[in-house]
Amino acid sequence: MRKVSAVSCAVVVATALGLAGCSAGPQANSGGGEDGDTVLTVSGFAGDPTAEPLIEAFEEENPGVTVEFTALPFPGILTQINTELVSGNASDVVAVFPGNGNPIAVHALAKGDYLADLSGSDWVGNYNDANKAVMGTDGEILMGANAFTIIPAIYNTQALEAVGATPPTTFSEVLALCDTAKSNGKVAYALAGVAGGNYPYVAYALYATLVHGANPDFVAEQASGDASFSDSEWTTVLSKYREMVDAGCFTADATGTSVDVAQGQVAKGEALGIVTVSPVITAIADAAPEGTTFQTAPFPATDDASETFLPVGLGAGYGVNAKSKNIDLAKKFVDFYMSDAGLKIAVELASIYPSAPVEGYTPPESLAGVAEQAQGDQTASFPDQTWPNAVVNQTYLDGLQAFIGGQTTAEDLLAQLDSAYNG
Amino acid sequence: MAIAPTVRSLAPRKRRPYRGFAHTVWWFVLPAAAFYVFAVVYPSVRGSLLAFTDWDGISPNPNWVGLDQFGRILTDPNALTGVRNTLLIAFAVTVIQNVAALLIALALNSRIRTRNILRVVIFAPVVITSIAVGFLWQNLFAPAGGINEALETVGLGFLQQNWLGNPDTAIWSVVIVVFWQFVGYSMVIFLAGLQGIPHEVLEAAAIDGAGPIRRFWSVVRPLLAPAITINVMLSLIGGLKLFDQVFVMTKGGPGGATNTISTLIYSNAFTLGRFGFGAALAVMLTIFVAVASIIQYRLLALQER
Amino acid sequence: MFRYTWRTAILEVLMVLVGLLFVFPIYVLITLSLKAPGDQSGLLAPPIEPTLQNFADAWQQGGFAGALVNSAIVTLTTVALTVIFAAAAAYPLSRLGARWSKLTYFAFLAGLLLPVQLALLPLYQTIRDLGLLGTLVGVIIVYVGGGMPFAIFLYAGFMRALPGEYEEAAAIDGAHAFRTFWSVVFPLLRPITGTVVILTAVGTWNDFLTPLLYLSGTDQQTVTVAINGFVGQFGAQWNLIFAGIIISILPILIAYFLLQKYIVQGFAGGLKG
Repeated sequence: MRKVSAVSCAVVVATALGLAGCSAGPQANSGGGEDGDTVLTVSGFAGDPTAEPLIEAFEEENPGVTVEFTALPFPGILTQINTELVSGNASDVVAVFPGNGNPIAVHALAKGDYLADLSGSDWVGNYNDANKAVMGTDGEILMGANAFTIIPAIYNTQALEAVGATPPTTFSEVLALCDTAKSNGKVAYALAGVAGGNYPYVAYALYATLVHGANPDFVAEQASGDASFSDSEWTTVLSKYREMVDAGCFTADATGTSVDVAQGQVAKGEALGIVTVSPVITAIADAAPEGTTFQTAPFPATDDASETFLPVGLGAGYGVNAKSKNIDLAKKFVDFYMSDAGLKIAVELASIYPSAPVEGYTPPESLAGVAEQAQGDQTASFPDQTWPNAVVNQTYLDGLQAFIGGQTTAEDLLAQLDSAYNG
Repeated sequence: MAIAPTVRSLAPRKRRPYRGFAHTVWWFVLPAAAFYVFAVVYPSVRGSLLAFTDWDGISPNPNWVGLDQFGRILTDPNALTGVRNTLLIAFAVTVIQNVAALLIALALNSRIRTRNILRVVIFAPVVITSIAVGFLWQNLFAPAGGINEALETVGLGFLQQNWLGNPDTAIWSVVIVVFWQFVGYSMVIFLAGLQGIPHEVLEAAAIDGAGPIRRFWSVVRPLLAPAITINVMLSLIGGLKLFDQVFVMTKGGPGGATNTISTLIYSNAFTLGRFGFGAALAVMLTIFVAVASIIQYRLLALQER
Repeated sequence: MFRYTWRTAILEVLMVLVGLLFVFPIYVLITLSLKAPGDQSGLLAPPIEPTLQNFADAWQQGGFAGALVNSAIVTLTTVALTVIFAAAAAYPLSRLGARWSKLTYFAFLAGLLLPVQLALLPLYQTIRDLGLLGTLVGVIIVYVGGGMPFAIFLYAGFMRALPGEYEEAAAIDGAHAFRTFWSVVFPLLRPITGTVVILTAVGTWNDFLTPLLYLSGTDQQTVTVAINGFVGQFGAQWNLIFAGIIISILPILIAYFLLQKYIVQGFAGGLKG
């Protein structure tokens, strides 16, 4: 392989203007060490604050090992890692998602046996069956995910105080908060309706209480064909979403608003809050003026506060490329990432909620409002992680956009979802 | 294929082609052909074959499914929207871009003093990276972005829109961006064509008393025919293949309202794992482009005679 | 039309307005990039205190230095190879009336119709099998092959309109054919070469999908990939993002301003007849 590239490199350089530096040659694939070091390649998310410290700690613990980290931005990472895994040239350790719903979710990748089985690892014992079911399939564990992602309502404390309100605990209070915000020239909830925005999460939050809370077996019934989107409480999810849109709860022109703008509205207090995934609290706080604090609360969907369920799901994590030449070392890396030491690094550097108990962990101030419930039973996993194929997810994302914009009715959207689910 | 006769028609017709030493150097073609076959022909053929399989991008062994994927295009509402958008964008871009480019070229071929600087300005967007153009316009089209702000400033606040968030305006916003980016390209080709028209010809027509419109139609238009042919062809093909700007600005949204065939090929193959379906769309797009090129060439060839 | 009359003046004013419309997005691009993050002036107002800090920050944080070098290597090599190979191939294809040359010419032009997505995955796999993934060589091969149809189209059109007298004296045996072609014919092609150079350079420099696919996973980024990652990383910090965008387009803009007179000339050459 090297030979081919060296020859064509020479040809190109000679034929062209004698340009220096037809640089490097192949380096993506690891394999043998160059200067005695074993090289482990890892592909993860760009902007992940924990990656570098984690790698440094891993290298320290494993002398003679060099980790090469490739940072890939979302959503390009989906295409990139998928294509590389299918083509057999992916990094030894790759970022993957639990469940199904995108091209690098473990259930999708399991079809081609692209990920190595990690079920022999010690940390697997920390997880219950529901978690194991989305981290792998057929008795195999294909990834480690070190954090739970929570979908709370995140509020700007000072903005909330300025209008004299507290986080609502019932759906009526939500609608009341929308009015209060409007009469103060603000919006209650920031909403980004463009691709990559937080608009899917509002429905997840409503789903947790209205669908899963009312019938915890819904996912199983849907899988066995005994339940469907159209003939379920999903209709209520959408009608309450519509009610909020019509009541002016959300950012005006939400369908044209990007996620950065929406998060900026909460950061600056132009919006009182936002319903979105917990890891973005860090980004919102970074964009906020000095002295701004944030708090979280479960987002209610009924008028009985005790019925509110909290969406909690495993976040993205790492899997091991089954075709890696360093499988043992790669597994060691994932084990380290999932170990107590690894979790501590993650907990200290990002406002994540660890998926396994960490000694001495106290949730950050901003997550205090949901931390207790997140550990309890009154939680629901994200619906997309159990959807059978990526088309359902895409239909949901596209259709919900059209629904918010008023181009699609709830019935049509749910019918499309059913046909994608069964398709 | 439709392109070849166009080129021939650009050249003088009467002269016997002089062959020089060309007959001894057939092998000059080889390096170009080698690169072309390697990077275009061979992978395109392999890609087309995927259209007859159910490959999901993941499973190792796809099955042959014949024409099933093409049948699915006809029943997939997203694909049909994509096809409609693609045709709409290609048609709108072709018409608007060429009419405007021609008018601009005529104006900049006149004696106005700012013509050189204006030529540079209007062509400048052509050289800007498409994804940079996409990010720039995404910012301009935002609800609190530059376009709405500018409309407010000049007292046209009532025209403010949620440009990319409303499906009706989103598709036209894409057309505006493509127009802004590429009208300079067509303009330059028209300017080049106008250079070939001697001023005496125009003067003679002016002395005859032909008005500007008649002068254009009967004198300039026939002489510009080669430029028109190339321009229409390039903008039509470009419009049919449109990808970058949509991908950056709307990702096909809101609700799939701005998907084009190209963005659907990408999302089906690379995010939905429907490689077979994506390949079928790509084959269909190729056929569209070929048919459109042939039709428009035939129509314009009539003009050139 | 031939003297500067009041009609010309109206046209002038009108065209300046059109020009302003075209400049507006670029004005926003530049203004925002010059504003300090805390600048509270209106979106469209000029910056209160123009600063180059955004450019310095973008330069430092975006890794643009390496990306610019890579883009330059890829662009210059691609342009050089495209010009040499396409000019050489177009010569026999335009000068010979033989059946094979016509068919070959059509086969090249058919490439204009093919959408890149069709070839994307198979080509990716071939490049991988050759061990060229993550190298600039792989990307250059993809560009040179993909650029042949349009470059040959332009060269062949131009050559058909070119008188053959010069070559007559130079008729010569095959062994020195390329040198003869290079010293006798190629210089006559200068106008169309200018066009091919600028269009190939712009297309290569600006391409996004190819380097995204073939180069990520290594440190061999090009500017378009760098700018995409940069936007992903800095979210709503448009001052910084726009500064980064300007850094990424500046080299190609400069090249355009230097070469712009060739563009009309080149097309004019191709259109003569």
